[in-house]
Amino acid sequence: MSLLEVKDLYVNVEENEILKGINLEVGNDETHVLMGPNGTGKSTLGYAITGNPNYTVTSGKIMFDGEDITEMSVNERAKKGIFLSFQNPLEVPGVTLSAFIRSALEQKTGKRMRLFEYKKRLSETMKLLSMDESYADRDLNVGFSGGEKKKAEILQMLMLEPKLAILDETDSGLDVDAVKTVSNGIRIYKEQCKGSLLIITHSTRILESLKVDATHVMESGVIVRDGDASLINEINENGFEDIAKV
Amino acid sequence: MEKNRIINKLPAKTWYWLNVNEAKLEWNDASELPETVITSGDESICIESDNAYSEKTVKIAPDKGQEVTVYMDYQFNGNLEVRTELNAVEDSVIKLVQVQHTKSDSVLYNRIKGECTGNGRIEIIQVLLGEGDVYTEDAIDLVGEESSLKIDIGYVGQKNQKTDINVVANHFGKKTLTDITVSGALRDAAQKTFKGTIDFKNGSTDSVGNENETVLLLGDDIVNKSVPLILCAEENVVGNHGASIGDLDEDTLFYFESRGIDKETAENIMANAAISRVVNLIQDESVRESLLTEIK
Amino acid sequence: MKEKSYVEDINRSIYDIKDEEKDAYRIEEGLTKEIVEKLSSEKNDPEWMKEFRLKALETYNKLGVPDWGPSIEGLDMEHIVTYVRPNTKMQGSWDEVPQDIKDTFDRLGIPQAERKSLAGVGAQYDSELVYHNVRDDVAKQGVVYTDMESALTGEYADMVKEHFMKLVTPADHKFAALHGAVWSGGSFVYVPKGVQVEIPLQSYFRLNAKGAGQFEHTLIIVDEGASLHFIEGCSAPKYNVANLHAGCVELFVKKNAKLRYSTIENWSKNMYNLNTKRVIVDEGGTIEWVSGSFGSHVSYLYPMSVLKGDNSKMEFTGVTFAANGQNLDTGAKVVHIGKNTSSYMNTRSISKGGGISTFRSSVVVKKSAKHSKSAVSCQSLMLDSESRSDTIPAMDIRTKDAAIGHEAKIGSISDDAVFYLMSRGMSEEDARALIVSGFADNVSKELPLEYAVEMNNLIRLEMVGTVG
Repeated sequence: MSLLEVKDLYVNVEENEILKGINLEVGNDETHVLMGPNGTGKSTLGYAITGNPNYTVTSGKIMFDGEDITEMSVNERAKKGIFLSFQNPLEVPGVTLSAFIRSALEQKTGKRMRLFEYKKRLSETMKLLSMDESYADRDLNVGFSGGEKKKAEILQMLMLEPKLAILDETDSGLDVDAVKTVSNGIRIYKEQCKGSLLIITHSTRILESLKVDATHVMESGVIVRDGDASLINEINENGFEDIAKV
Repeated sequence: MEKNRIINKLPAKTWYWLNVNEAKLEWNDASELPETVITSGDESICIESDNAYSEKTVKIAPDKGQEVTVYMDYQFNGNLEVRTELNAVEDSVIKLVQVQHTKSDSVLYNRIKGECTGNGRIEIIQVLLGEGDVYTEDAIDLVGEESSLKIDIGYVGQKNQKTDINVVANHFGKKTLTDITVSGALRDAAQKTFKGTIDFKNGSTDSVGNENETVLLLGDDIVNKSVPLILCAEENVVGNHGASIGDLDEDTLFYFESRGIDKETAENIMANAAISRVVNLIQDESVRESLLTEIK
Repeated sequence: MKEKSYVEDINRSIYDIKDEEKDAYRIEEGLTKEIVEKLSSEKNDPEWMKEFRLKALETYNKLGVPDWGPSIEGLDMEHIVTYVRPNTKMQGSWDEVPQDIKDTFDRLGIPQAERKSLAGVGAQYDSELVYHNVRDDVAKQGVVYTDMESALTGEYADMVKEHFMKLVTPADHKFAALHGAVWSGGSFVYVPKGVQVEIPLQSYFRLNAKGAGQFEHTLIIVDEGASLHFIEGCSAPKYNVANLHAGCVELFVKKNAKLRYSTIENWSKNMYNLNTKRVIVDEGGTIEWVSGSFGSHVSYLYPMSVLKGDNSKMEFTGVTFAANGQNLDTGAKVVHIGKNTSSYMNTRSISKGGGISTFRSSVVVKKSAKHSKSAVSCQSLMLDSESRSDTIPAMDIRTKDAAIGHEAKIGSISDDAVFYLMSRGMSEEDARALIVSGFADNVSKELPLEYAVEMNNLIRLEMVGTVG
């Protein structure tokens, strides 16, 4: 049984149909890459799986862990183990990064956490991502650089240990060092949580140190090609233009 | 003797039916608490009273080149009027932190009157905790060239609490600067009025005034009034105002929910955030930490 | 392109030409019961209207003048002439309008505009409409466009009685009461269910008589699913005696109907413009206000929208230009009552040469108005330090299920922008005029071309003194 199964999914944003019949299966402990030119609906798929209410499923369904989650609320999906790393993480003044992750963890487990244990785990995880510990007490994403915001997303992923992490352009706009740190975080996630990944990207830098199980290419709201890791190289050489024709 | 006081007047009147031109307050003869005068260093004042009506005056006037930080904490029953006079002269800085704990049947009338001469600076942090009614007015004259003012106010209104905030920044001097940020949340049947005025007087060339308000609406019977004025009699100035009032916005809610946090918890976190944002600006760590603990 | 538009050669002096006063009837100055009775009988009012007027006069005498806005001390009500009847009957053909009145409107471009781009035109001269015409094809759709006096006794008399001063009652404020007592002239428009009037209807108000008041009443009912664009223009020559305009506009937008109401106001600079405009919008209806305020000595003008029906909408786009001797207090009011209602205000104010402009607004969201949205954006431009510009908005929100945004900005013309334009060969004067026109383009973009050109000419006139 696959962890995630997207069946013939159609999604509208307001009146516009963005996804036009998507089929996708991601198994346990697998890493999938979703590629394609800008504006083809990759992020929409990420939002639809996460359950953003602005993205309306008009037909088809989303199965997760054997359960139909198409109608499930965003936070219930999150508790089941779906995580989205946002392309543009939100700034939340007045709520520290540390307090935010702690409430998320408490909601997931349903119990209060001991502050000492929590702080210890948070600081260890931050070290893995070479994040300055002072960020824990700063307001969530407020005044963070682009790279710091993405690291904060990866930090949340490592702390919440989801079964499926969807990384939406997590590598865009990052310098070489930041890409390394983020890649390292993804590697740790795979090792520690044995979770699955759906990586949305149009560059390949972040994939270099990862073992990719499957690659999907999306164009105008449909998946035009599935393949293995070698498809990435093909795209690197030829671009997206001829992919659909092969 | 009982009297009706007309307070927190809007510097330029608008339609009467909006009921925002002024506030009315029933008052009675008050007993005078000892006056406090502060001219240097860091001071903490705790205003305690159990009188039916009491009043207190605090004067803060650092010498030239001095910086003073004053923490004022209000622990009282009944009705209390506190007048705080600020005088920031050349090269001086006044940092005033007021933490108000009003009990549910108490009324606080808190007035700050201030003047910046030379390049004096005033920073005011006001944290409105507690459940009683609060009327607060900050009226500051920026007289000196390059004088500046920063005001941060945080509140959470609950039950039938009334909060009436009137902030007036008068820009007289050239290159004067004002930053006003007010954030809060309203629960239950809480009522809040925020009046904020930036007044660029003729001659206040090259001055800048910014005013920003966010209100998170959580209660079914709340009343929120916001009246942000910019008055201007000078060409070369820049004034900005922004306000955002409503329930938790879609993006914020989605972000929280995508991390497994439900709407109610998200609302509670954001209501506290309105106050924490202000508390986090307090320099003294022990004051800051104890307030953060109290909020939770 | 069409032939050279009439508005291109506009000039302030056009508005300032005073016609010789040849009125047929002029009521005594001031305001008493006797004068109101006389006015009523002179106008052959139905009985209910006569009573309405007298009651409104009582209300007028009880109410005080507003103390929160610009001073109206210069307005001497004891000497304002409330009724001046021009020396003509209402004409349906332009040729029959007396030559002197025709010349005035010709100078203002009224009949040309009709020929070009309007579905119907009404022209009011002092207290009465002198010309009214509606295109045949529009009339065939069942659209009624007539003067208020005819409407009072005609086929739609009941409809008029049912709506007249029900939205703006005489008790609203002193000048609404005054209007109720002495109103005269104005237009009645009814657009039947489902009828889309594709091209605008226009009314033009001209106050020629010295020391007089104009109190026209505009009543528009856009029935279910119908749509209309109504344009209003105003002007008067300048006398050294104060004139008063206390008109009243009542608009009813029924279910899923749409109304756009555009005004370019250019009263002379001794006019007290104390006008009241209000609309009530039913379910799914839309009101769009487009408002340019350039003239008058003192203005109090805040079109109010009552969003009563669920999913109703309002948009307000305005520009106010206050020059020397002007104190223009303008803005908008909105009350959200229905669910999912939305309002959007976008205004610009310009102050120059000692002029005072005030943006005043109110956004009220009632407890019933769940899931309502409102956004207000007001920008002010100060062109010198003798002028004044105030922004006085208020919000009163009583439901948590709302999203309310407000932003205000005040500033001056950026030296960099002037420098940039000058580096392209423009004079400083022209550069500043261009920047101000650009600043006001929120309104000019919303107007039909002829009006947009006229508006930009008015701005240029204020900025440079000539029309290029």
